[in-house]
Amino acid sequence: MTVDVSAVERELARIQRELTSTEVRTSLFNLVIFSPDAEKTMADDALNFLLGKRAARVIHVVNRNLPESNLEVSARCFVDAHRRGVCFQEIVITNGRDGAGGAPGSWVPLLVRDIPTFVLWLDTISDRRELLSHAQEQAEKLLVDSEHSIALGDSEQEVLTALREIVVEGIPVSDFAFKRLRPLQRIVASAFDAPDRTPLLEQVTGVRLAGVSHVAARLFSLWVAERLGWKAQNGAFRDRRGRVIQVRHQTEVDGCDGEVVLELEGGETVDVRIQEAGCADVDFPEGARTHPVMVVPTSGELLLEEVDNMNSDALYHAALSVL
Amino acid sequence: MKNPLREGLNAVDAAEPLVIFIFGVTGDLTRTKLVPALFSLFVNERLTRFRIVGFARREWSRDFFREQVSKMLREFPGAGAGQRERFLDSLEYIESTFEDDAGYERMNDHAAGFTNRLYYLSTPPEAYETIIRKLGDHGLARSEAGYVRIIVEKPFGRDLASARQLNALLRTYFDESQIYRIDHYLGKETVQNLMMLRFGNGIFEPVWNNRYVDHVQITVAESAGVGTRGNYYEQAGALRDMIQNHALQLLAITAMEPPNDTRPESIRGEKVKVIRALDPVTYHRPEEHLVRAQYAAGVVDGREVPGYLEEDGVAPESRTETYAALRVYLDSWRWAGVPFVLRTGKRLSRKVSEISIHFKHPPLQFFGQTGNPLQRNVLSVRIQPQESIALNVNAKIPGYETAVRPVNMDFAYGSSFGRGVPEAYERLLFDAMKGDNTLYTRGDEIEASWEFISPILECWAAEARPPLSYAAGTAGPEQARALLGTGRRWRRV
Repeated sequence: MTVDVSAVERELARIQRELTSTEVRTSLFNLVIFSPDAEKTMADDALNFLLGKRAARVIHVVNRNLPESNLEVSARCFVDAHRRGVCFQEIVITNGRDGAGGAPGSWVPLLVRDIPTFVLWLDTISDRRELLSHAQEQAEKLLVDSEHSIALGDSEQEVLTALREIVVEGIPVSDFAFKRLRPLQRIVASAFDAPDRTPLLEQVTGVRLAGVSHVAARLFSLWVAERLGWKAQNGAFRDRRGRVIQVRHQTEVDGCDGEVVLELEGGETVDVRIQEAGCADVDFPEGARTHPVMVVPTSGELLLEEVDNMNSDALYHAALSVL
Repeated sequence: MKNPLREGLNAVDAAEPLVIFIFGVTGDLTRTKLVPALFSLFVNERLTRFRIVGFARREWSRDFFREQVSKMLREFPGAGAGQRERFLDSLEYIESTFEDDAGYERMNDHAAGFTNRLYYLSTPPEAYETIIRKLGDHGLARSEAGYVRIIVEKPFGRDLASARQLNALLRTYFDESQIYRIDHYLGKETVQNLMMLRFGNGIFEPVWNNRYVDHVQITVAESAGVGTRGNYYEQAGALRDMIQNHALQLLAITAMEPPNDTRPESIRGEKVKVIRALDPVTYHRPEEHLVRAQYAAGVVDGREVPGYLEEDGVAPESRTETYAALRVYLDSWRWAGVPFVLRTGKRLSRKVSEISIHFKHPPLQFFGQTGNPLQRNVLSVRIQPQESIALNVNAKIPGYETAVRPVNMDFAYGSSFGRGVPEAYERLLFDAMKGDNTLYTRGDEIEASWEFISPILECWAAEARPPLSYAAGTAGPEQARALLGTGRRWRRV
């Protein structure tokens, strides 16, 4: 595979001119996506949500079981409310068995300089550390989905450890698996907002999670642990008073989409049950119940949120520190 | 005890539940600014639990009020029908004159279930006194349970005496921390960005002084005439309508010293120092520093328009200025000797508001000797329309000769950030709900600005000669060129 940067730029400009006769908005950022072939659709779904909302240079490095790498150029444009073209300049690099497509020398020269670069990593992490390391080198921010990487075959411990190392290096990381927990975190947090309920957090003796993936349960419990000052110890946590806090998880759940139970001293519980149709039920020890709205963001919505800010996910970084 | 789980989760910084009373809700400002701003805050989840209560004398029912607002919301195609319905459900209406106690007595009923209140005075200024007194006398200016805040629209007084009077009246019933004097220019994104540009970057502040800056131009130009506001404008004029508030606010932000921090009082404290530093030479020698004019008939946007004296509501012998230009100086270490030229006018070539910093020439000009003189570097901050910041620099024209041409390095909000710029009112209303008055004008700042403007008004009132004249659609009277001095030109309107 030969990458002729000038030819790629000319071709992108030509396609863009063909697609829109109006003034075109400048690309705001580079988005480099790494994914195996099978996951290209997932990446496309997230990208489609961004289309017309943000102008960007998108470089998609797709691992395919082909003998040689190759490169394709395309563009998609929408005309926005101000009659200006909002375009994706898309470069799809197929990384074949020769590995040339994934090499930094193939895709780094195609980045637009002087604008931020986001790397969306939708591949396994543990067996691609070198490639990830090159991507990190170019990235202002790394977007990962640990749940997805684990589903592709990564070990949970290895993924979270690797991500913690990246975070420690000072690279902003956002994990979509953690971001998807945000509505649930808000609901659980709001259950303790009332002044008479806040002290109950000192009485938590255990956490049960059901209906979510194991890594989601782990990330959730790491978040609670960090917030409440618990330390990890032999697969459980120890709170500030030295008591052991058990976290239990099961994938299956009956009668709802998911459940988080905070067990309190004396056997009482605060129980959050995620219902269908974007709602949750929160049951309190004294019998009260609330029905907050709970909508889990899509990958597209998360991607849009992430490319709009350069900041790290401070809660995620803190949660990983408990590992 | 704080909830430790809550920390870091409030990504959307929403306002606390509140009820907003809009006095004079049937006026144009509600349609053009307030409703769009409030609805946008609601759609963007900044406003979650709220009620909006219109207060006006027109015989409107609650349903009719909702119908009117529903029409205003038609221009928000992106919003869902459910969002519109929910917003409309939050609307209530009190039909009352501003003098009638019964109207104020009903306010508590309309605020049931809410502890926080925001009053918006969107009425002619003559009504301010009555409303403020009635709110105070009915015990509606304070609350133990939540906050009570009041937003006062411009004009805030028509001279120093009336501004002081209005401040004193407000302070009879409200603390300064409850009073929000709105100047929507401060809510504009570029104006806020000027502070970011100056104090968030290392390269500008070292040259932001009389050693490197030749002069500063501040332009607030409009292509529109007085339209149906002739009666109001006759009492105001360009100096009151634009210079006393908008232009001086822009001047203050351009010239202020770096605040110690971003707390409202730190920023507002630095701004007021600028206004107080204005040199009285401007009104002591008016013939050198002031230009006032009125527009005559002309052509704007390709169509013929009447002169000011032919407009409805304008007296045939009116001397009200529709154009004002001032050369002012600041008695400060940083700006001593640097002219700040301010101009505003109606029926100018186009609508544009901008601040431009014109830098001095390099000490030795060996490049400008080939027939193309070097231009001054100009940093221009465009406030409206099309918010942008541009730096004009001299560059070599490609070729065998050393020829120079000015080129622009520019940054346009619309193309640099992929998101829309919030409307000024949206930002300012949200700030008031959050209790952040940084972008509102403090009482002493208003008085300081009137202290500077009032002698100019007196000077013009005593002037025997009528205002100068300029044709509509032009850049203003040619006599204004002299304000800049030799070797300088106004930026194109």
